[in-house]
Order: sequence, then structure tokens, then C-alpha cells
Amino acid sequence: MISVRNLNYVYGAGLPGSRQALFDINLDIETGDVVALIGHTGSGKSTLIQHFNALVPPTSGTVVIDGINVTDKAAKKSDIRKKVGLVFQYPEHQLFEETVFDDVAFGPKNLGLDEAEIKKRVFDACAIVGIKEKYFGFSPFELSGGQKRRVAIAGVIAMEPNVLVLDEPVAGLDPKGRDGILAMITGLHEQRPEMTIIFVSHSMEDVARVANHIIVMNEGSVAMTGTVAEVFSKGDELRGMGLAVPQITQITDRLRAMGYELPPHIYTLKYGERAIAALLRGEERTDV
Amino acid sequence: MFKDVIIGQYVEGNSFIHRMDPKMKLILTLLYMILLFSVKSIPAYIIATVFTLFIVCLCAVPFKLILKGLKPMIFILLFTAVMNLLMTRGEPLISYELFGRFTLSVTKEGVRIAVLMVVRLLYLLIGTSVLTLTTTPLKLTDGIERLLKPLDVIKVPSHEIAMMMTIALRFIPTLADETDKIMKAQLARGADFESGSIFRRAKALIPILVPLFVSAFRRADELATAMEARCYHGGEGRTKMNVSRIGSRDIKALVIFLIFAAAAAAAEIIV
Repeated sequence: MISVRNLNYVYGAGLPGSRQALFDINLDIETGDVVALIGHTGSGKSTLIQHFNALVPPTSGTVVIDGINVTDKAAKKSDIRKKVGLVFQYPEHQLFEETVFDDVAFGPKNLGLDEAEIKKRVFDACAIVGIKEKYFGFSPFELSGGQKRRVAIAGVIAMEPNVLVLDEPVAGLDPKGRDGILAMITGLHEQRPEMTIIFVSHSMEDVARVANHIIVMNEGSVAMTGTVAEVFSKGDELRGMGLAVPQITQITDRLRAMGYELPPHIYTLKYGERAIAALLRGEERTDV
Repeated sequence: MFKDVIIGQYVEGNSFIHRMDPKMKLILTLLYMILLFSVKSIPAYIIATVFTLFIVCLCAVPFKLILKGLKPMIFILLFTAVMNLLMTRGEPLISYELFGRFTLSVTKEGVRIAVLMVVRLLYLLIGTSVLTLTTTPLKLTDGIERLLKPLDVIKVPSHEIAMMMTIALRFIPTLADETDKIMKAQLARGADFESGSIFRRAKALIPILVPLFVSAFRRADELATAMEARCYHGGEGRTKMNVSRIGSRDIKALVIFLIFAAAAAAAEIIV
């Protein structure tokens, strides 16, 4: 359970050229939820998620995660980072060890675990992200872009956090790499239903496919929160914020406006395809 | 970590000094440095002080900002002062026996030299800060290139040196951003940069340095390709879009400086 209360953040507070990035954020995220954080560039998404991990101290307000106030200066940083795993944008840029195994083991080692536990965690994390054992001895710099990203994500999963936050996990990947990472998130949720997953995305299709809830950020404030269906039913509001609904929803909305009868809440391609196919079959029958 | 460094930080403005030709600014800064280190008498220093205050007022950069740039240098200034205080021989003011064998003494000459050295370094820093704060890095390197141009005859690659400096300056903020990002990413993975012995802390920097170097090489490679794609082939036959020339303003500045320098020299001889 994550609860954010009256969170404000000002960049360069007290200096000339300071800029407020977050305005009075209030949020509640349930344990085990998969939440998508959407919003146009510069809407404060990255700044917000860095607060979950005590990487930036808030100007005012609190973030409480499972009863620990992470914004409290007295809270132990290592406890917070054990609880919340943060995967940055382009995480493959932080790889540094000589082998894949060592890089994934970096986080668990910092937690002070024993050898056997570290080994177990590396194996588990690599299994989740789909890095085969034969790559363990490779240098991370020898891998492809998609594989590097998986290794970097495994490095955070191996710390076994209660909350996993991913900042644009599929940015810059090819379609196959994207599918892999998204399937990994879904798989992780099934295997570890108690883990809360928060991810930032610009693709509404990805959001519809993976998330249960959506948080919409706009100009440093939370503009909307709700289930995928609740948020995507407000297409006009989203467009007003420079966002959109999934393409399949745009198509079915148009069809509905043209008078075709389609079920509500079509956000994924699979469901949309079935609904339109059913509609076509139904029409053919009436024609005959 | 980098917020106090003001090298390469240009403050927009339209003062007399801002509008001077970068070549003249570089020459005058050099002459100013020579002047500071060649005078020794107090009256000459008073004249140098007046001149320094004069350029600080003239450049219209907030004095607070210049002082901020001096902050990282405090240690060097203190170190210089202490060393000079203790290491200069002469008429002792205070003596202190160390282990009954060495005598540490602060001498009258020591105090004098310590004060002079600190003042010299301080003025040197102020003078060079004024140069970088009022000149864009681009103009500065252009000025250096033009000043080095005559050395082309003895095969000094003036254009290449200037280009390297421009690129290095251009990448300071980029690499600072990158360092910040990598540091945060490793902190999120439980890295600890602040506790432990010096040796442990140095080792803790590896997770930052390796990715930083990798990204610096990647950026260098990309930049080289981008430059070649735009037909960059070095300085040969390359012309400038904006050519700045020494004008009446620069001559005026030179004359003002020479008057001050002559006054300082005169004071030096008389005393």
C-alpha cells in the first residue's frame, strides 16, 4: 500500500530559476496492483517516482509505503531501497560489471545477503526476465539492446522489492523487445501477485494490455486516477492533455458514432477484433 | 556536486566587457596575470585592487555569483596561506618547538608573503572568472583559435585545439547530467557512496565511472559520425560565420589597462 499525501516538489528551491515540478499530489496505490503512470513529457512522472525511493527529498508532503514513511529523513535509506525497486529509463546504461551474473548480483550484494541467497536471487530474477543461464558469464556489453535491458531489470528484481517501479521500460526497443518486456511484466504479476508494479508509458496500447489502474499526470498534478476502463472512457479529456486512448478504442468510438452497435469498453486489440468480427458476421446475416 | 563550479558558465549581459573582442579579453587577462605576479609592493597592490574592483563593477555580473565561484578554491587558498606562513625564513614572530628538534616559526616575512599570495590568487581567480562569465565558450575558443593562428607556421593545430576545447566545454553539463542519473540508478540498487574508508569509497565509484566512460565513448562516436555526415574535415579552408575584429572599444580597454599597469610599475619602482 502506497499513500502519497500533499506532495510538493520544487527544483532548485530558494534559488533563482527554481521551478515547481509537483503540485499537491495525493495518491493511493493498493498492494499487488499493476498501475500505469501516463502523462506528456515534463508532466512530473519521473520526479514523482523518484520520491517513492527517497532519491529526492520532497519540498513538502509525505510518501508512506507499507507503514514506512520514506520521506522521513530519519528513515534508513537501505530499508527503503529494499522495499522499492526503481528501474530508470534506459537502465542498460548503468551496467558496469564484468559479467551478467555479477551485474545482477550487485543489488543483492549491497543488501548484505549471503552467497547462496545471492545466487538463488540471480537465478530467479534472470528466469523472470528470460535471460538464459548460458549468458551468465558474458560481458553485459556483448548483449543486444533488448537483452541488456532485461539484465538491468533483473538487477532490480533480484533485490525482491515489494514495489517495482519502471520508468518507460520499453522505450527505444524493437517490437520483439517490447513484447518481451511487456510479457515479462504480466508474468511477474502472475508469479508474484503481492508485488506492486508501477510503470511509466507513452503507449496507450501497452497500458491497456498490462495495467489494471491508470494514474494520469498533467502539469505536475494528478489529473485522473481510476481503472483502465474509467480513464479510457474519458477520451476527450485525455486528448486535452496531449494524450490519447488506444487506437482500437478510437476506431470503435468512431464506428459507434456512425451508428454501429458495439459493446462498451474496448481497449485491447484482441477484444476489439472479436467485437468487430461479431458485428460483421451479424450484419452479413441480416443482409442475407 | 557540480553546482558551485562556474567555469564555462556564461552570464548574459551587454556590458562593455561583454561586448569586447574575445582575443583582446584573453590578451588582457594574460597581461593582468603577469602584472599580479610581478609586483610586490603594497601601493602596487592597492592599484591592482582598484583595477580588479573596476572590472568587476564594469562587467555587470552579480558579485555574489563571482564569490560563489571562489568557494571551491577556499582550500587551495588556505593551504597556500598556511604553507607560506610556516615555510618562510626571517625574523620570527612566534616560535614553536616540535619534538624538541624542529622549530616551527611564523615570521614577519611569512605573514607578508602569505597575505600577498592569497591576494594574488584571489585576484587571479576573480579576473579569470570575469573572463569566462562574460564570454560565451564559443567566443572564447574562437578567440583562442585566432590567437594561436600565427603558430600554424610551426605546425600547431590551432583549429583542432579550439574544436576540442569547444566540444569539451559543450559536454560538461551533459556529462554532469549523466553522472547524476547513473548515481541515482546505482543508489536505487543499494550502492553506498558515503560511508566506509577512503579505499571503500573509491571502489564504490566504479559503478559510476564504468557506465560514464561507456556513455562518453558512445557520445564521442556519435558526435564524430554526425560531424563527418556534415562534411567536417578539419580547419583547412574553413571560414567563420561571425568574424569579430578588434575595434575602438578594445583599444580603449587596452589603454585603460596600460595606464593602470604603468601606475603599478611606477609605484613599484618608487617604493
